[in-house]
Amino acid sequence: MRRFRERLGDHIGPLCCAIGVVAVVIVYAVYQPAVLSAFGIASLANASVTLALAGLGQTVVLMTGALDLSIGSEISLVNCFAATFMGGSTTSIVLVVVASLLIGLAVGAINGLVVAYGRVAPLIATFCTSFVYAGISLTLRPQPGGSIPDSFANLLTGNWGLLPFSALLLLLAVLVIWLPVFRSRLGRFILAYGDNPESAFASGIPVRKVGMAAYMLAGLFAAIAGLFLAAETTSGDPSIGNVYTLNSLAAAVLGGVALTGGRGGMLGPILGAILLSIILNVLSIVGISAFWQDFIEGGILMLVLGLAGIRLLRAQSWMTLLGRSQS
Amino acid sequence: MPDAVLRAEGLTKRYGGITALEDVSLSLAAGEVLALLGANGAGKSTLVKMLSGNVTPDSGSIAIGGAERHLTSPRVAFEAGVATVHQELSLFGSLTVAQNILIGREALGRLGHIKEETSLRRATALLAEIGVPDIAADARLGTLSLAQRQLVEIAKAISFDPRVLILDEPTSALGLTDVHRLLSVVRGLRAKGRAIIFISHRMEEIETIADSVTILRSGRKVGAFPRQSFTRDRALELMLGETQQQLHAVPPPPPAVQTTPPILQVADLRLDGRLNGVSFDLRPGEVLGLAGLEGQGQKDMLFALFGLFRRGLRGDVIIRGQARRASRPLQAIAAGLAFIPDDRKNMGGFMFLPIAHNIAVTILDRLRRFLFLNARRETAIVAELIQRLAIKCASADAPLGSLSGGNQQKVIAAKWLAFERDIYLFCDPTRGVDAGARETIYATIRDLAAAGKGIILYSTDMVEFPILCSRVLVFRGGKIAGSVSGAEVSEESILALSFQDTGAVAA
Repeated sequence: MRRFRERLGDHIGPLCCAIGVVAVVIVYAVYQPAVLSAFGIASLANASVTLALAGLGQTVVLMTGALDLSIGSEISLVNCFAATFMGGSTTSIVLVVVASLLIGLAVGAINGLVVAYGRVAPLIATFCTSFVYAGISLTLRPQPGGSIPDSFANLLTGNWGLLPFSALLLLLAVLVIWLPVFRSRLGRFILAYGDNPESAFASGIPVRKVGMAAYMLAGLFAAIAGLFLAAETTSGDPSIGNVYTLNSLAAAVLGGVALTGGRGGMLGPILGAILLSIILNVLSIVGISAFWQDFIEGGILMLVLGLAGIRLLRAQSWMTLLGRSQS
Repeated sequence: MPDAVLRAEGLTKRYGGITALEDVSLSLAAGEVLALLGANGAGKSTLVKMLSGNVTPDSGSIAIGGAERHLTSPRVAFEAGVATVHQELSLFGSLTVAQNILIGREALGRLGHIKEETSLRRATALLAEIGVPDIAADARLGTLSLAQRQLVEIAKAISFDPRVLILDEPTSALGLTDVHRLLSVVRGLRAKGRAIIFISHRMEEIETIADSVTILRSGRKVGAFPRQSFTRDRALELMLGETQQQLHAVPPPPPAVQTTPPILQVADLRLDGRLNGVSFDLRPGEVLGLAGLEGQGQKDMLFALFGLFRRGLRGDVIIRGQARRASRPLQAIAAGLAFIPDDRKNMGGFMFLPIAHNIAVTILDRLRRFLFLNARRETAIVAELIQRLAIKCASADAPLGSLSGGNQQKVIAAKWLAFERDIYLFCDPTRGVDAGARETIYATIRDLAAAGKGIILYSTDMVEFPILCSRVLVFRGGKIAGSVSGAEVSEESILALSFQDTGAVAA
């Protein structure tokens, strides 16, 4: 029984999200039966996959007890880079994709250097680097534009019956990046470091390298998200990633990832991203004005992030409660 | 000893002007349990941190198995063969027992993935080896009891196959049954030829487990002898050393007259895991000391009175006949309490704000005229207090952070003197404070007592109790283990109560 409750406690985030997704889809389908068509599913999947990728990246950093406010800018940067240089030939497509992934790792490494080696608070550090990355994006593409070859766009956004290719992309990212990392020592170190940094150091874990690796992984996921957005919109836009910074945090927290580190998985943020995307989608379909959309979106985010803090209210000492809220 | 596994020579460490450890040497043979004994601040933890690679010595050398090693990080220490079980455990609540034990040394498959099955098997074998097969290797660490975690930590240390194992107060938080179990684990490890450094405040444990005893005082090694010639009296004597006579110049205030009604009554106060039923009275004019070894609940007692625990506090706090148990500082202040904390930076003052703002923060209500603060009255009150407490500062507008530690502490005391309260809680008020400021703080405490205030003093410096307190409560395991009053208040009597038997530990 104790084990069962323990397990339930672990999966309460993903579980709630799964129930939420089913509920929202049912409501959505009642109003708009076309949602369940191949096209409807593909468009919902396309909307969710970018956020899911951003959410996974954010989750890796959250698990170390830090956070990454530059994810949105990283997505924009890769998006602008890809739309500017991709060209049309297969060779150039492959080269640009590889370069994009390397850019993701590089900008993540910069975050990691500033936070883990420069000892700047994650909040400030990544807020600052987000402006640096945004500046580069604007230099690359002062206005939205550029081009993406159809072959690349169709490869990522098409569908095969009821199965959208975007879902396969997400699956691939999980299989090739997430699972290997979290089945290896690095993943264990990330969790341990977030759980208790002092213990991690005392256990001989190379804590700074681990902090840096987490940001690099976040950058890698952001790069995939940026490439996917390029395929989806067939253009580059220096502000396209902005919304994903805060939404990735919300998706992760909605999926049960603790802001204090040491806890989290990949199912939670993915389901959280799907739930959040559908809700945002419904808001626009129902015809709520753009102003109220932002209002409701901001409200949802505050609610979710606020709920995440409830756990802290169990603290016995005022000092721990006040100390924790500063991160 | 020619076959010493560990040999440390002349270890010295200074922090600023303070010497934490000076010229300490020790050697340890295979299959030997060396007990390290000393009062708070004697240098035990500095020594442990050096041997575990968390602190590098300023001078001195450490040789393991005859070869000199520079233990520059915990990892290097592990590799050199020294494993340490720290007081603050180095474990992770969200990982399983097996994942904790083998962190960083998991068996990896060809693809770099962790072989969980192998980890489980190895962890199970290790737990069986140290004699605790009942801890499940796949249990989440967060679900285990403190004693079980302590044993997991030992299993983790053993998994490095160390030649030297350091146990830093492994029993301090354990009950008697768990202590027995831990001691038998230690005995088993000794039989297998491990060299063990065992730190404990419990004399009875040292008598049952140690082969030799080394005693530290104020960072120096003041005695070392084999178990046969170890006696408690000799150990206490060495731990104390000569008391600082010059501080006894001013006599302590007389014990409070028992006929005055108590200003504060505490009845059966409990706080999960920290206080286990504490009861006492405080009378006006009394300076009551809270003593004991570190972490026995005396500090929590002060924090609890001042409302620093939000929840979990049970029992009664009665101030002037009214129930005034506080769950936030505001309530405690309203009930007539003032609190002078030891952590000046985080709890005491505002380092970047002027001294005047720091002092006046408690009396802003009184300084208010209509909507604005009466600056002239503020200046007058602040100037008076700066003079009274001899606070050395360029001006009242200088930031608090620009003062020396002693003067900062005086400012923090001043803010509660400005806002006259009935009961003053002093939490280690002279920590990191120079001799001059110390005298001022002592004089302030005596003046407050003479003015009929109730004073509760927690200190890590035992010298302070005899010179300030009319009565001292000695804490042990979240309870009052005993009390001394009047002429009986001495370092010897307090230390004896702190180390007192809780019941014999069988061999």
